This record gives sequence, C-alpha cells and structure tokens, in this order.
Amino acid sequence: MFSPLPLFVVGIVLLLTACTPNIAPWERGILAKPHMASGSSALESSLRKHMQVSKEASSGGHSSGGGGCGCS
Amino acid sequence: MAVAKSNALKALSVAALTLPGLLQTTKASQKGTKPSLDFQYGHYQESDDRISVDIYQGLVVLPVTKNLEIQSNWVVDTFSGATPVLTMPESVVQVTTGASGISGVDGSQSVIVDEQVVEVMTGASTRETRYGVDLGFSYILDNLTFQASGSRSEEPDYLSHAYHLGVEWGFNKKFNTLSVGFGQNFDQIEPTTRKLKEDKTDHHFQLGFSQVVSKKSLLKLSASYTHSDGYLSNPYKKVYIQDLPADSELQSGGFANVFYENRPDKRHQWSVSLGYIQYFSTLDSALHLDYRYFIDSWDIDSHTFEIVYYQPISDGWMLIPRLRYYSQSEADFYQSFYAEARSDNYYSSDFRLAGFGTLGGGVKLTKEWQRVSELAESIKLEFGFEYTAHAANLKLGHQSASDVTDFNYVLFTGAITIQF
Repeated sequence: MFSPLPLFVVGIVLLLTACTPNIAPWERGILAKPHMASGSSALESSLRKHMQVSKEASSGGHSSGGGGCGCS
Repeated sequence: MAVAKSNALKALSVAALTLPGLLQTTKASQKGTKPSLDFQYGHYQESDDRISVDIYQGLVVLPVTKNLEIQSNWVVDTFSGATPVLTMPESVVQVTTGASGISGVDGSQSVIVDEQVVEVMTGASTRETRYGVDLGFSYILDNLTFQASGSRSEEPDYLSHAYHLGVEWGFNKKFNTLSVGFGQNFDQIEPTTRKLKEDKTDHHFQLGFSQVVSKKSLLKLSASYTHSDGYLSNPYKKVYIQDLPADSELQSGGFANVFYENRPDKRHQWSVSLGYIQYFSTLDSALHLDYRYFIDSWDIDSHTFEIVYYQPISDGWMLIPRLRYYSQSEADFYQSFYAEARSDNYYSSDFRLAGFGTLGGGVKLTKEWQRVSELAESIKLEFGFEYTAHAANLKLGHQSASDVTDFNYVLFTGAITIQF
C-alpha cells in the first residue's frame, strides 16, 4: 500500500544537503517577526480544523488535535 | 550609544534565536515567560437552513518556571439546523415535503444507475451542545521541547478521550527543527435515535521538519499517519440499496430499500504537507503557502492548497487575507444510491465521502495594543470573515454528475488575546 513516508524522508535529505544559510544571529530578526510564525492562533486553527474535519474526508497536516463527532 | 546598540542587538538576537513558531508545537512555549488569556467566538452558518454552529473557546497559558508551561483550553459548540441523511433515486420517492424529508418509498420501482438523485434532510431541527477541554504542558530542556496533553470531548451521542505526546529538537544552530508526535483517541458512539453503542480507537503519528532557507524565508515539511479501528460509520446516515440480500445484517432505515450505512471497520490515512514562508521587506509583509496531499485505504485522495498573506498596516493593525482550495476523490464504496448490492457489504452515501471540491476565501483584521496598562502587557483584538463554496464541479479533473449535495458556508470569528 502507498505510504508517503519515503517522500518525507527524501524531502528532509534534500533540504539538509542544501547549503546551510549563512545567517548571523543578529540577522535573524525577520524570522522572529510574529507574522513569520507558522499558522494562526491556537484557537483559530483548532476551530478551522474541526470545521474542515467535519465536512471533508481528510485530516492531518502541520498540527494535530481535535475530538468530537462532527456527525452532522 | 554603543551600549544601547549592543543591548538592542542582544535583545534582537535572543528574540531571534527562539525562532518563534517554526512548528506549532513550540509556539506556546516560546511566548514562554508571560501568562496569557485568549477568548474566541465563532459563528458558522451553512446555506439553505442547514447546520449553524456557535463556538465559544478559551485558552489559558501559564508559565510555571522558566522551562515549564501549562496550557489549558476549553470549547463549547452549540449546533442546530437540518442535515442530509440520505440521497436516493428520484423515481422511488413518493412524496417530498421540502426539508422535512420523504413520506414513503415505492419499493416496487426498479431504479437505474444514472438516475437523478434527491437529498433527504433530517426532519425537525436538531440542537446539540459539545463540551471539550484540553490540558497540556510543555517543558524545555536545552534544544528539546517536550509536550504532553490530554483531552475530553462530550456531546449527547459522542464521548472522546485523547492524549498526545510530542518532542521537538532544534539543531544546526536552530536553522532546523525536527519533531515527532504520537497520540491516541478513544471514542464512544451512542446515537440518540438508535439502540447502538459502539467504540472507535485512533492512533496518530506525526513527523515534522523545518529549515531556515534565508534571512527572509523558511520551509516546513510534515507527514502524518492515522490508523482507525472500530465503528467508523456515521450512525445517522442512511443508504438506498436495491435488492439487498436478506443476510446482509444491515439495519433497516424505516423505508423499503433504505438501510443504515456500513463502512469498513479499519482505515489507514496518510498525509504529507509542504509549507513555505516568505517575508517581503518593502511592505514588511509575509506570505505563507501550504500544500497537503492526503491518501487513505478507502481510496480517497485529496489536495489542499492554502495561501495566507499578513500585511501590517500601521499602529498595530494587520490585514490577513486567505484563500483555500480543497479537492477530494470519492471513497471506493461511496455511491449516491445503490442500484444493486455490493459483495463487500460496504455502503455510504455520506457527502463527505463523495468526490467534490471547496473554494474558500476570507479576511481577518487584527489590532494590537502594546503596554496597555500595568496589568496587561498587550491586548489584541481579531475579527474575521470567510466564505466557502462546496461543490461537486469544484473537484479537480472530471466533475461528478450530481450537484445535489452542493452548499456553501460562512464563518465569522471574533477573538481577544491578553498577555500579562
């Protein structure tokens, strides 16, 4: 059966073999900006995920959690 | 001047070294030193008097020591409205009375495979409340962040308990993070309209990886696997099956040729996600791109594309437009009705297992006040609106024949975050 795990591993290896960026600690300011942070607020992403899982057949992604039927 | 500059540099470097939010799991812990309180209200409304939901959520983050933090969140959802229970061939429906359903089925009619279907909704408006609570902590040890949480969700017909364990490792001068997660759900299903008590167990595994690409961009990669075991049918959904053998053990749905659906009792689900974040200096803005590929053992696969753009305006205001496209193929046992019985005895006409696509977009406006008073370090308000169309012909590739399950929905949100 198909498993996307090999894709993930190949992805990591490709990323790791790419050059490590030459960034000094004091040049990391932009990466530390709040809107460079991954995803929305915890409550918003949990609401959005519950809504999507209730209406669509897919799950999984950059975060986890949930619970409940979503039967309707 | 030199001292001030060096202090500023130091502060910036410390802030930057934490690289907030490279992955979701460390986000809370990186706020770290300050307690915070979040409250959010959401209103979800489907078209044509279908489901509407009011969602109230709260979140408390409490640092205990420099390395240990406790988070707790709760949710109360109240939903009401009509929901589809069955799609069936038009020729056998004896009387339809709008959203209140059918009054009879003509079992003597012989249906043909590509017949037009009608959607039958629940009769009276249902109203139900779900209560959920989650308690977790995160602990930082050098370059490692450990996370553990447990949750409970309860509604009249569904009880769910879950836990999740995770660890994230920042390495290569924190240009990279690697995270691993595992969790389980234990669910009990007891529908209000049937004599039935069933269980379901899920096991989740997650792997995450992130890489700083440049001063202004980073990449994220994640994979997940879920194994589900137990009662995976929806206890309220029915199917129309012509000539079902008497020994099929499917429960009658109250009309001729109408039965409760039956799905396999095992499901394997895999997903791979790729995310990219790019900063634009000229506008001080950030673009987040995400893609997810999903596949499962019921032969469903899906593609999700999401774009979110963060544009700071001035004075703590920020505008956040978003766009999402989703497309899924149908489960191998899904049909809108069955002109003949299946040899594996699996049947479902639930629209969630059909082939369809959704296209949604929205915008959020946020305003943050810094150092408001001695009590609060910052207060942030958020208002959001989004609209989503759910349609058979939005599916990638060829379109499904029937648009009977098409609908759309809107979501309004309002939130406040106080950091102390």
